[in-house]
Amino acid sequence: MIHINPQITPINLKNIKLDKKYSTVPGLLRWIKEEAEVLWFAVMLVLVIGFFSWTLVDLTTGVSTSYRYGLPLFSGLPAEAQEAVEYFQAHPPSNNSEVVNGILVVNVTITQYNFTPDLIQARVGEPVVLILNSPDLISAFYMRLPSGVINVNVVPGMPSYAYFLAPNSPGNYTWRESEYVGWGTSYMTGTLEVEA
Amino acid sequence: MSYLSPKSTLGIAWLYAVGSIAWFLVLGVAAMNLRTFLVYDQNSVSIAPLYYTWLTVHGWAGMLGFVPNAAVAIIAYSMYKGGMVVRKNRLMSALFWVSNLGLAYALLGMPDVGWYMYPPVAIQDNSTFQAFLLYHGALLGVAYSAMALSSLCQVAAVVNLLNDAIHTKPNSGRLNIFTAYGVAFALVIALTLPALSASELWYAAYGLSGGMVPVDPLLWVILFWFYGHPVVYYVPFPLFGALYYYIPKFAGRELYSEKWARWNIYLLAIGSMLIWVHHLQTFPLPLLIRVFINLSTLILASGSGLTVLNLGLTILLGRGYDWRDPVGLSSLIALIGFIIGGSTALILPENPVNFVVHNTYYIVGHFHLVIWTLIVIGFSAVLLDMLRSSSPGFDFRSRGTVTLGTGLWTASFLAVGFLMSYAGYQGLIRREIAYPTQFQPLMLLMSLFAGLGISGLALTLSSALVEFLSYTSTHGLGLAQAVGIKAARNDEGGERDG
Repeated sequence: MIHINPQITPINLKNIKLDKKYSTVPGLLRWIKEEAEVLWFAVMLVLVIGFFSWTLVDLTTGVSTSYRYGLPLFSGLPAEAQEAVEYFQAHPPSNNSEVVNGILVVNVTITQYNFTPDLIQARVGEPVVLILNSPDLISAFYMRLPSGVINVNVVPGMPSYAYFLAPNSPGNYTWRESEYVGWGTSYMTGTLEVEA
Repeated sequence: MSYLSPKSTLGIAWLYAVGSIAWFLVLGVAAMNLRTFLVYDQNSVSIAPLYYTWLTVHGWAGMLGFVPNAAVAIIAYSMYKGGMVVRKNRLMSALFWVSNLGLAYALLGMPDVGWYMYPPVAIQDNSTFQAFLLYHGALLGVAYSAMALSSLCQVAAVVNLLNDAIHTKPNSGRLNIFTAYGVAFALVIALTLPALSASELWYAAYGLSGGMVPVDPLLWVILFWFYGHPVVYYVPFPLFGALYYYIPKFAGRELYSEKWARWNIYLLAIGSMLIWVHHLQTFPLPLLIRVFINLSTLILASGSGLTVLNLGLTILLGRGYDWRDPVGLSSLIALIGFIIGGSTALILPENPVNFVVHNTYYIVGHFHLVIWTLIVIGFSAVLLDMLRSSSPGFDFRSRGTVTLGTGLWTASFLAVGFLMSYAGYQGLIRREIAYPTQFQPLMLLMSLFAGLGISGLALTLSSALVEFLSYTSTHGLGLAQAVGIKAARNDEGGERDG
């Protein structure tokens, strides 16, 4: 569209000539539109890469505040919670739970149609880590707390983890099965009992 | 027999369209049954087998019946509009019947596993849970074999369309945009639908071998979603082609950017096949995989956004949009519906927020919004245009009725969709028959608006059909002749316009 004579240097604007078909105002508008099509397509992809990069930083550094509510494979757990889980697994207690360095670690097993245990007692503000196991089912754990949502899927053969702080308001908080695991799905619940 | 095995391209499009409408009726009846259960606040576990059977009938009739049939119908019609010919008509008819009868056989066993049939529930058969209420033992394997046969026939149908598209491509000029989208996304279906067949065959092997062939849950889930995500685009993407084709006609100008529309095919086709794991963001998958699907989903979203921008500019810079035409109105609503339904998806690929709504009614509301507006109304636009193509000279005179019906459907189901999404954001979990009482008023409102909306669609399609039938009888045309099932007039491709 724009022809520049390569033998003339330096480039002088007077030497730039538009195709005749673009020399009129409508022609010029058409040229701008054609270039804009390419430009916007490129800008759009740059925006995608920029937004993706922001998410990547969020994910890899854990700066997002949502992270403390848990993602599987340890990625949602702060370092001290990971250490507590490792200690708990290396020294399994006789029951399902134990406080390790101030963190309540609870081993929850999901079967058709039960959570074991279905009652967790915690103190207000106490850090809690759940180790979720589902030996036979693709299942899930869903609980809404005043500070956010815990929603984690669990597959056979590998544990999932959730980390949260017990709410500052004493009371009972219900968790539910959020994956379909059969006829009793709707009735699979458990209770987080928060004491002052 | 001509109705069962049409002999023209348009006839094949009609055969699959009628098949999709039949499945739509089944899924609609199932949906209204579900809503009846859900507004009752005393459900016990004893009602669960029946409820989940209706839920599975709803899902399978929709995703395994309506969607592939509608997709083939739109693709075949796009070929007709581009001057291409479906040559192996008898093969296409045979594949249609075997496919749909296979799915019907499986549904007759009263499956209650949900549409995405996760293991091990989907192959369980004991007192705790039965995957099929009527098929037990080896019959469970037979049912999944029938489903695999059904999906394999659908694969064969789109492969046949691709083959015919290659062999009947016009020698001069390039394909119109509708045809280009139809053929491109036939390829996406041909590449992704076999993953469903493989998933079903895996279950069939388990059932027929009496459990000797083990099923790995996580691997099965990943295999399934390689099909399970792209399937949601089987109808919308060919419909994008239809919208690129219709909207400029009713806007009175050429498409704002033909380049964008054609480049977009690559973004949508590649993107749709790379984002299957975004359904699994709450699953224990490595961080890198979740990061990857965030990128691939955004690429797909940018392609969708470009579609909206392109069509929006076409309308805004046009000479006044002819929304009084039923096809024009349906196309416009499909576009607006896609914007509204698609906008609720924007947060879903984001790892840090996805878990807030995963497995809740928010998701149900989002994808139903897209189904009710883009898919149903967009498909209606194609059906209405097929009526016009089937009988030259025919046009809609009772436009008010069609407009009223379309408006009623759209407004009602926008309300249902947003109520669902709001309830999900508040914590209403999907697939539950007993839920916290705070959600009961919302459930009642959803059911009320759903009932209103259905009457709207019935009004639109029935008034258009009655008008068409009265026109054909007035002009002495048999129905088979009018829809191109046996008339030679429509055999060799239709309107090769651009």
